[in-house]
Amino acid sequence: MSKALKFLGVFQVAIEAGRVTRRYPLEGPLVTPSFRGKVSFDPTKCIGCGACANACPSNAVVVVIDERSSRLTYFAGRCIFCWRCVEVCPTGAAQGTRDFELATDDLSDLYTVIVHMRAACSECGAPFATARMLRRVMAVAPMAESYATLCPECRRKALLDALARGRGGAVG
Amino acid sequence: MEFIPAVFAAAAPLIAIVYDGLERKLRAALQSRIGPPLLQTLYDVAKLVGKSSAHPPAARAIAFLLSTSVVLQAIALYYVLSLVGSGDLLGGAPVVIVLMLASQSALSIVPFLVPSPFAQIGGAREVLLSLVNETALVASLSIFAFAHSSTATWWAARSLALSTALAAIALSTYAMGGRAPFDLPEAEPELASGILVEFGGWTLALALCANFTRRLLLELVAASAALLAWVGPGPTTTIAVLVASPAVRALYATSSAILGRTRIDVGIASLSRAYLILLALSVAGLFLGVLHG
Amino acid sequence: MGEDPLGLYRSLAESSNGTISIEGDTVHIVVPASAMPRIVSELFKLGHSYRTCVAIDERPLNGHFSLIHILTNDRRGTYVAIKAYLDGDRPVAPSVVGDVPAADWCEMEARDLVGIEFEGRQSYRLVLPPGWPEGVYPLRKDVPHDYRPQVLARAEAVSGPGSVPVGPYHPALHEPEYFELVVEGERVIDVRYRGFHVHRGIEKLAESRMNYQQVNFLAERICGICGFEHSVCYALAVEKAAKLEVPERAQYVRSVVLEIERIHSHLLWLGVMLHTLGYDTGFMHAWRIREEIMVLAELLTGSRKTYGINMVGGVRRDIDDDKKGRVLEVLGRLRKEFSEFVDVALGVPQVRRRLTGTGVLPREDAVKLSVEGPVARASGINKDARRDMPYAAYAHASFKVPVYTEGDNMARTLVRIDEVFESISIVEQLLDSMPRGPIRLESFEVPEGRVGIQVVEAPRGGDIHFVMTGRGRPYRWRVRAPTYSNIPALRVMLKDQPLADAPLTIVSIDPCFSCTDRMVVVEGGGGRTGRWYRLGAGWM
Repeated sequence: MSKALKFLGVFQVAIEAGRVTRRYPLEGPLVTPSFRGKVSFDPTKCIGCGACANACPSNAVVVVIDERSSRLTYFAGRCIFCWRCVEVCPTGAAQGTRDFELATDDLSDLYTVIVHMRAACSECGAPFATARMLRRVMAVAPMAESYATLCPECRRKALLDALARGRGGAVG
Repeated sequence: MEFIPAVFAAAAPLIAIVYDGLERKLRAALQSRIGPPLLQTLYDVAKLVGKSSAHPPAARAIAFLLSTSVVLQAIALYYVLSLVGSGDLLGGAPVVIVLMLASQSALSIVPFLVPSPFAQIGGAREVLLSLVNETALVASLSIFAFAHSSTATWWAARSLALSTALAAIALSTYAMGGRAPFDLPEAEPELASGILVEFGGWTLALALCANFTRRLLLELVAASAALLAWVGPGPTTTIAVLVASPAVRALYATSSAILGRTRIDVGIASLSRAYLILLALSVAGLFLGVLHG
Repeated sequence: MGEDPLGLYRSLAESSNGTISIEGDTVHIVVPASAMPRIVSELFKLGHSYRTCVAIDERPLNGHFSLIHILTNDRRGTYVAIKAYLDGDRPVAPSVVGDVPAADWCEMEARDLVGIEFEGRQSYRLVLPPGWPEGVYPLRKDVPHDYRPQVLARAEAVSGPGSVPVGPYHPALHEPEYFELVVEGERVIDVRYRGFHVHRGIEKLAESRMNYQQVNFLAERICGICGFEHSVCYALAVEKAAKLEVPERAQYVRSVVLEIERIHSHLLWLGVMLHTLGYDTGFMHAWRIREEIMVLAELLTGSRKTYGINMVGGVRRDIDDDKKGRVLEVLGRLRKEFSEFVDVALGVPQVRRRLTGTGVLPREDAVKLSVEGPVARASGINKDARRDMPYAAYAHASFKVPVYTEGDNMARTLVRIDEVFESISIVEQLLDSMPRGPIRLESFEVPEGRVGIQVVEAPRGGDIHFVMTGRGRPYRWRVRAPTYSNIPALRVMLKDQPLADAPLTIVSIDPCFSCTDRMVVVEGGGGRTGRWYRLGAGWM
């Protein structure tokens, strides 16, 4: 084709390409299997450790701790879908999905809230870890059962106590 | 039969909007897209009419000018179609020319009523282009009318006159419709929508309608001239023109989609050159084939 | 420069009573402030690229402010950081702008954000908005990151008739910035620029609220087109500072994804350029071709853009054989399609005619302003950080660096088109030779007080990140994106051009203002956001 008429090649380009746009949402899914979508938090698996909140770059998932409870809140509106929380979750409670159709007129659809009860120390009664976390620790390391119900303060006191009595080693 | 031109002219803005939908579909096909539905432009204009929006300060004057322009174009459309039926080009062409000049002048004033540098620059570009294109259109329509209305002694020269005049008519109707490479007054990436920059809501709807109707009129002029030269006047030719007009639209739209935008100085220069050549040939043909014999 | 650059640096340092230390590929020179201009201009005259300057509030560490000028010796792949400590709460430093015009903006940014006054030059407010209170320097350590001043709205008139405001909102621009073109008829006779409308506080944020790994994600969002190279550059800078041995395979993955990003960016740019020329069909087809790259990126990384796979110490996703096959297939097809398309697009008469000979940037101006990337390579400067200072896995790929000498819009277009083909070739080479192994460092320490400087060749040119490590997060993070260096060149390119070509020329430098701005005022409490003033085409 002569140089001056090269631009007419656009017809061939268009014919070869066909139509590439799709009538979404009437036609199939748009995302590949690798796509990172919204994160789903499984309350039955979550132990309230807060690793996800630590890792989250955008404060989409936050853990707020008060006297009685440890409250995990995941707000999809602030999520950047990086799946760092999925990566660091020790129990697999945070799972990635391919869900991206999140538009809604009800903001509460975007919130996932998991509330954990905090365990009270058997010695001093102060709340420390979540009950679930303790149960998991005891399941993973049975020898911890003897001191897992003590808060770190009381644990320390008990250890010093034992050392003072000349026994050393395990407490209690 | 006689009511066809009147009906078409009365429905002209609506038909122009539908044609624009056609054009968008065609453009989309060239761009490998599905494109908007055929009636999308209608939905857009309807939406614009319903929006409350900011308007330029001289909105009323602008609205007057725009609506006058649309009305004049519709009347011109009526005349064009009647001429195709009657064949009285020497009598009717002046009317069409005056109506077109009047409507274009009304349109050309509008940008200068808008206090934005973009509108002013766009308006200046529009005036410059109009000067060149309108002169050419008037000249070519006149030559065409003369050449068509006379019985020739020298057939080849008359054909030369008719065909070059037709070419000039085609080029000027194409360029005056604001089609690439001459879509300069509105150049969105350069002038932030140029002449349309401060319009919104119903003023924008009106401005778009004026543009669409102008395009329809221009294409019908071109189609009419082509068919008159080919077939000769008559009621069937009128129907033929109406049937052929989507084809003309398709041709113009395709050409517009495969070209870029030129610069005002380059554009004026190339247009002037082209017209000079075509019109010179046309006058020569007219002189030799029609007047001289 | 001769045979012994290190000797030269040593003699420069010693003759100014300074110290010199060499860490890997970086030469650190510490001199008294008064000696800085001489050293900087000497190195600049000898052909070093001037990259940027960094101002740091080190008062919590050692009671001083500091100013660092960073240049690179492109021929040897060395970074040269010239540092001076400044005293007092109103530190003063001598300016280098006289000999190095490229330093203009970063000095003014240092003045606005850290409060260093520069003597020997005219100063002006560059980054902070007009209503910002005096004496509040956001990057100082005593200003909290969530400080919200009361900024009163103020309208500024477009100066007089004959000025065409291009921006802050204009269809030719994809981000807000303001070019005021002074025109005579349709000829531009002068240009005034004001930018930094989308300053987002990124540097301050990283220094206050995030940890090392979170900053990767922040860095990726510096730009929506070239975000991954920012995140790679940051990670490489931290890894350099902490002397981490990142697994080879991770570096290969990074390079492959970087090149895929380059392809997507250039295709995007080409589409935008054609749209600016009025050739929308070309725009649509360019982006259609680009769509395949976006889907490929999603397959490889999990997201079409903001890939989110980069971490300090490696990457989070691997490229297995299936994905590798897909990449090669897509790129093979793309090479053919793109080549045909470019022939058609550049064959459109208006495209060819309007790009040729417009927006010329002569070589001397390009050197003086230290422009980056395709803008530099189109004006005859043979500079590419992938070849000059190989990072990630680029040392293992061989590729050409396209250089043109005309310096007009067409040259910049051709440079980018050639780069697409080179990128395809680089990806093919790297995928072929990718070593096995882990993709991430399991555990590592980032010690405090170290400095890492890294240049990455973004699609728009050399992007530089400077990291001074702190505890768990950067103590100072400075980003200078390539468009930052390219915008001042627009003044030269736009003079005496027809108005119609102004948006064209602006687009031809592939401006990425999100990259340039990076730090913005967080408007709160009834500041600017509530009021709108209309003057002609619109104003913020």
